[in-house]
Amino acid sequence: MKHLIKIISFALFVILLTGVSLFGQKTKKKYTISSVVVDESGNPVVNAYVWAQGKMVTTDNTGSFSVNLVKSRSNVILVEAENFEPLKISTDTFALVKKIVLKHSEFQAGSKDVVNFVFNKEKQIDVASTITVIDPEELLKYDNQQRVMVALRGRVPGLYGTNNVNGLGAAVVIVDGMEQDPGNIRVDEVEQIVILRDAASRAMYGAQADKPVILINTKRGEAYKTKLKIMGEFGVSDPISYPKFLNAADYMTLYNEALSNDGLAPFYDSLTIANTRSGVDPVLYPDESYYNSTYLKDVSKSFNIQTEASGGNDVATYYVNFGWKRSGGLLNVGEGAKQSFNRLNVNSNVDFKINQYMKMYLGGSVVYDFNKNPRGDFWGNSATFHPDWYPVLIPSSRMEDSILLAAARLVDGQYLLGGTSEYQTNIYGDLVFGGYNNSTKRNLNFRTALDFDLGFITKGLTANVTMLFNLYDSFNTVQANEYAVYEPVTVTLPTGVDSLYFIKHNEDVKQGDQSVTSSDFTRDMNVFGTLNYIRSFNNHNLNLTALAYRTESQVNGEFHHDKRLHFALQAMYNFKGKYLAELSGVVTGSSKLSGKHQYGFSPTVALGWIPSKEDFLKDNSVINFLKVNASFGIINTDNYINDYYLYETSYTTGGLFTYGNGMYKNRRRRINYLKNPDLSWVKREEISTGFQLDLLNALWIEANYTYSKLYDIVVQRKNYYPAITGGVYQYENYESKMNQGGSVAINYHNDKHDFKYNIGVNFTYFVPKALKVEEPKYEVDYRYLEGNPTDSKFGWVAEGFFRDSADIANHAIQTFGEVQPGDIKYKDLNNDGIIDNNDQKIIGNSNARLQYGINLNLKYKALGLFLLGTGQTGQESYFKSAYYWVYGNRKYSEEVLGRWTEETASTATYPRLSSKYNANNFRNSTFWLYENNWFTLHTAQLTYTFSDRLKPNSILKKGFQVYVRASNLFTISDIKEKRELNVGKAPQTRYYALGLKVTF
Amino acid sequence: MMKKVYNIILIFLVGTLFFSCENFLTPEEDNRLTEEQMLQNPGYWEGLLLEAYGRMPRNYKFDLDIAGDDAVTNDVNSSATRMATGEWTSAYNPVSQWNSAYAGIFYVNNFLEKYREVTWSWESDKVNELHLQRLSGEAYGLRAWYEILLMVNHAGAVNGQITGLPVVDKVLGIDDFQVPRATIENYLKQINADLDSAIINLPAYYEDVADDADYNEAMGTRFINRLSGTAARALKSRVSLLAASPSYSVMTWEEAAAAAGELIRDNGGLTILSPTGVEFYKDFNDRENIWFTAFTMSRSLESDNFPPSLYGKGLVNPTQELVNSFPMVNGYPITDPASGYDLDNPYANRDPRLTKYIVYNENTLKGDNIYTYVGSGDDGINALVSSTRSGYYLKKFMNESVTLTPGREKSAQFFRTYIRWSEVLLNYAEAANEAWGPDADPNSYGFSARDVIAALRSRAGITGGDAYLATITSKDEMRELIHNERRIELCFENFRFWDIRRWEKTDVMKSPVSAVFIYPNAGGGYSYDVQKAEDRIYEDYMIYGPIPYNETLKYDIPQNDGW
Repeated sequence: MKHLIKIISFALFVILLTGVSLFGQKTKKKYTISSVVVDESGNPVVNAYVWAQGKMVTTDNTGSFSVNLVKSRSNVILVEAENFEPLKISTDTFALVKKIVLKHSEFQAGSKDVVNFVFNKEKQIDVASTITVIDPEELLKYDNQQRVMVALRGRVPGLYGTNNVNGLGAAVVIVDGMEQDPGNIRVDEVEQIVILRDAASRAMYGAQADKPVILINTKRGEAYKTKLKIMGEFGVSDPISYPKFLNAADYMTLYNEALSNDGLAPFYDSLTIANTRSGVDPVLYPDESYYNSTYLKDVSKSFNIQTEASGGNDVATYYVNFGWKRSGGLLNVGEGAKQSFNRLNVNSNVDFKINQYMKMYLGGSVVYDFNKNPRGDFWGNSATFHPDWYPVLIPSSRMEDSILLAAARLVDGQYLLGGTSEYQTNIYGDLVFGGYNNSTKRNLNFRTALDFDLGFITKGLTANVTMLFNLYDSFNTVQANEYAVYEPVTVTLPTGVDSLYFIKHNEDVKQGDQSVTSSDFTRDMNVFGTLNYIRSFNNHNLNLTALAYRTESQVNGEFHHDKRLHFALQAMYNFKGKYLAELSGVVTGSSKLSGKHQYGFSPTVALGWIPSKEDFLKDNSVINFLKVNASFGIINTDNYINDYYLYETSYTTGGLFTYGNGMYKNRRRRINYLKNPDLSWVKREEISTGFQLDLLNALWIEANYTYSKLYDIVVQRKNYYPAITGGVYQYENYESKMNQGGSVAINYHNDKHDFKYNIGVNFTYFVPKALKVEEPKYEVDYRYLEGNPTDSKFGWVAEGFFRDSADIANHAIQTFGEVQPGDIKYKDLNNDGIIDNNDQKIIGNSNARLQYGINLNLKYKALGLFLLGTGQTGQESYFKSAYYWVYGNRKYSEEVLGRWTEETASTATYPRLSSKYNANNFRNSTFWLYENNWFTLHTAQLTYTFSDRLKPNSILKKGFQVYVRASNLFTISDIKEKRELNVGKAPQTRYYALGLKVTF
Repeated sequence: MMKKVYNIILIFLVGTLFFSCENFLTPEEDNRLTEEQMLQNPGYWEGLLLEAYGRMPRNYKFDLDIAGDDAVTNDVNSSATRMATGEWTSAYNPVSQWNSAYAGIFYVNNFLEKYREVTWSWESDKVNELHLQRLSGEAYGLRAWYEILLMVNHAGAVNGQITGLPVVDKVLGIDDFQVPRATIENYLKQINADLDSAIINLPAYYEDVADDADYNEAMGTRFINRLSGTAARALKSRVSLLAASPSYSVMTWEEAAAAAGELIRDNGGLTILSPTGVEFYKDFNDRENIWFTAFTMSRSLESDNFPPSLYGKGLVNPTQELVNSFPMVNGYPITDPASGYDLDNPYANRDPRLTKYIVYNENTLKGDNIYTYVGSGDDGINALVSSTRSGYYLKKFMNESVTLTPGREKSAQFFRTYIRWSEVLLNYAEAANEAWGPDADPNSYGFSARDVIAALRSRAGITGGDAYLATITSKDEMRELIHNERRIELCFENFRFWDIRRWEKTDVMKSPVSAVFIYPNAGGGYSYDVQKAEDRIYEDYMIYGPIPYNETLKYDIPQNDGW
């Protein structure tokens, strides 16, 4: 494995060198060329870029330019301007052309509007299925979010969160043709992101396409454009809030109250409580809190430095990117203070022509993460360790036993670590003496492709073979030390004086060696081949693709390799660019099915019409663009078949059974499941329709409706077969569910003046529904999931607290343990006088129904302000973690202050305290349920963009950008505090950053 | 020429990458087994029977004690505590045996379905036959074990009529699973038929015999820890006693007395009583153990139950009620004026089993005095999460050579006993007293109920000739004594919870349980304050367990009354 990584790293290095050396030669003879750039009407094009021999000049107010060139080198120049099609032209022809004429880009049909579907390409305007295309270059002008998936949030209609399209679940993210962790890619490296929003657009991805698919295509070098870009960002993360736990004395008082409520004797005597409250002796009466400057820094800092170089010519192009990102942690003690998260990344590729028929592409990337962490779980422990358990630090002066003291390992030369026989983990001790845990992750990606021009067979025929490899491994280097803790104990001597002594628990052990643990790896290999045929006959435009695609993935600890194979044919067709059609047929093969069920056929069709190209709308001054489309498809998938050989009865080997007084052994044999030769594909059926409309070149409206049904889902019918059959079942195609809804996006922009603005909103609304569910037979109808949203939450309806014993006597009998005043009262839904499981109904759902995104982009000359917010409604959450469900001996949070007592009966916000489990109060009910509606301003960025084009010698002429940005700046929500609080893990933060980008 | 070359390259590349897809999609042979492979290897097919064995408890769980009147726990999340304090329903039944017992029966039935197709021995037909005989006996006996477990936990009254459970004596198909509840008579008939098959086919003990290597290979010592003929007979005495009990009353006490009496007689009468049997868990060779697991090296039981000063979790805390049920060493109950019980020194001069089974204040464990008084430190009542809630810790079953000290952990031999002779003796005493009174022996077994109780108490260490036992004359007095003796001797062996139910002692079932708070006196000694520890909230119908709620929804299987 290590060797392989070395070899591939070396290969990448060679690719890098080759790229640089190809373009690094020097010669001396010089000449000057000059010309004028005009548009189709002969008007000069101002500020056009002219790229030549690695230089860049811009045209002046008359559209003219001149540039000095070297004789023996390339004589091709590249002319580009915003809203125009780029043009390559040889300087040899300058004498003839006199003027360079640039054509305006057509709407959705320019060279930048070619959508790369990996297996084929099509102009966006000619695509009949529903997609959204994101151009990162546009984004980066005003939003420097570097995380690819996060950059999609709030921008794509139909997208919940960052990767859930149409509520179908997390998308399969295909990076350059291979499913990969998008976390390894940064927006700067990306050329194009394509979100496939219906079955027709996804179908070519075979069985994977049952889920949403998002394509990320990374950058390649561009011929004649030589660029070096340097970016840096420095940021601080400011924690929003920490959990608020009660201090020791308050905890003791309330815990006694809880005991008393349960009819038990108090645990803490009043002297202990008083001494704890007064802080008379923190060693004997500890009161520890953890979210303070002893343990934590105010903010954590991070930086991110990236460089990028690209360029090339007609023969070869190259692209190189490398960078380093580092962020620190919040801990301030010992190994915790050294906590850091680092990422190094290199990504490079070259394209070159082998001869007139063949082109080759080679690319590779390495992402190397190394994180330093202290051992122990500060965030978890600080949320569970009680304030009164033990003093964390004991001044060594308190220890009178000089022999014990001499042997003790002191913190900062003056403290002993506290602990008890029961709690030998000391939070401070973990950080200073516990050792460390350094984790390393390496991701290596290697891509190669051959393109064949088969025009010699028939015009327009090309072929491609692509091979992709991904290797990932990770391991932890651990130094696990142990440390002694000291338990303070007081005894009363015969003299009547209290004496303090210490009991030592555990030993100080410093490991000599680090140990390497938990190595993990995955290896993936994808191979695909395509034949493409693109041809126009009169007004018939045809784009045909034949595809064979296979993937193999090997995961550490998984016996079976995950293999997929499919063959596909796709035809994209349009007539005069007005009537669009897209037909696909995919044959998928599965290694999880057998016999006649091993292959499935998935057909899809999409149709589109562009009325704005028809004569009756052609010259309409209001409607600039209108496109309507609809698609239908059936996709076979084995995504929900979770194991192999499910069609055969499976016996497995169990543990050893020992007999003969331990002398003889044999293995137990279990039956996992029973055979089902009829086991077949899970199928998704999807209908989608929508339109896109552009009015007055300023207002953009698009809308989409989608109905998606998943059926023949494989389950075991455990609620159908009784337990007397033995609890061993077959797998069957049984369940079905659907998801239906739509999305709308509206955008208005005005860039006619110095002050330019753009405002956009989008709404996504989908409702899932369970159509057929393997569930028990219930006595009451409202307990069924079938016919209701798949994400329904079932629970009891709380009716406040029991006031008194009369209230309890008059109410239905609650069967979750004995109740007393102050306990939660539930509604008797079926009026049988008993509160039990049959009194649960749907009280909420766990996925948001409506999600919306709002963005505002203001620009005045070089200064820009960008704001992006998202919000949601229609989701309910329980707050039921140990922070909210405080019972038994859990750590008491501030939540319990509103507890019910006889005095506070009218104002109580929390049930009466209990030292026991109290299953009556702590169960899913409307009492703990909150409407999870919120709006968050995710991004605010102020950008100054400077491009000193008119001074040809300025070092900043290719671009200079400085920005400040803030993430997660504020949230509006009724439950803002709860939403923004993390318990048991590192806090949520607001992030502030200063960044700089320079292009040379 | 060029065209041809590129055509060839292309076809070659694309072709080699994608053809041979048939093989590509065939999953690797993983370590699952097909039925064919299972039948070819006797060790594999036997594995199905071993799965049925393996689903029996391999260690001690004290949920039934925590849910009953013998113990509480410091585990605030304990499902048994929740059950005992009012949450027990057919939908929430932490002690349900339904699914696991029918799963055990499923494996037995799968084994029986084709075990005759397997060649158990290639060497000789005789050995093969002996294997078949033993294996069938084990299988039927195990099925009976699970059927009895189901009866104890789930049989009950339907519309006032005691009703049995579905009899599953074959592998059910996916279309013929709607097996109705059998009558209690038929259900018992099934259990007894299975036990009879076991008794006929199994040797009384797994012992090698001289000069018969064939027999030894199929029936010899090597099969210790498997179900034996004696164990099957002991199970018969267990189920007969249950069936004769007031809550069932479908067999006679005479039948129950005979099942136990004949077994004891055939094994040498009261001489089978092992002198060290009170601490049967210390040595699996102790002849007290009839059926037990092979030992493993373990410390989990100790880790769960040692007091916190010995780095245990102190989970099971015996109640004051259990402690009070131990008589004085002279045999008198502590409530008897003649007992000499000292309220200020309650643990002195008690039945020696108290010292062996329960850690009380100043009793020793691992050579250390354990102090449970209020404020004594980690082991004191309620001191820590892992401290006792009752003032007592469990000592029975604890292996004192186990060490839990961090860094110096040490495990020790552990085994679990399924059946021991004391149970059979107590089964006899109870049934014989009910059938014939304390002293009659109409079947001439050579021992009466009183003889058995005397032997057990004498072994336990009751001194002075057990003067108290001599004062017992009536059947009713003897019944109370036997019930109490059963509670003490078999404590923490999963009997008490169902015993008080089959005796229909609903008042005991519903009485709160207590803890003792001990305070050191200024001048030495202690004062004792008994407080309620926990309620026991049960209804009268809870003398029977429920059929699992979900199962009653799957097909028409009647629920027991009240549930």
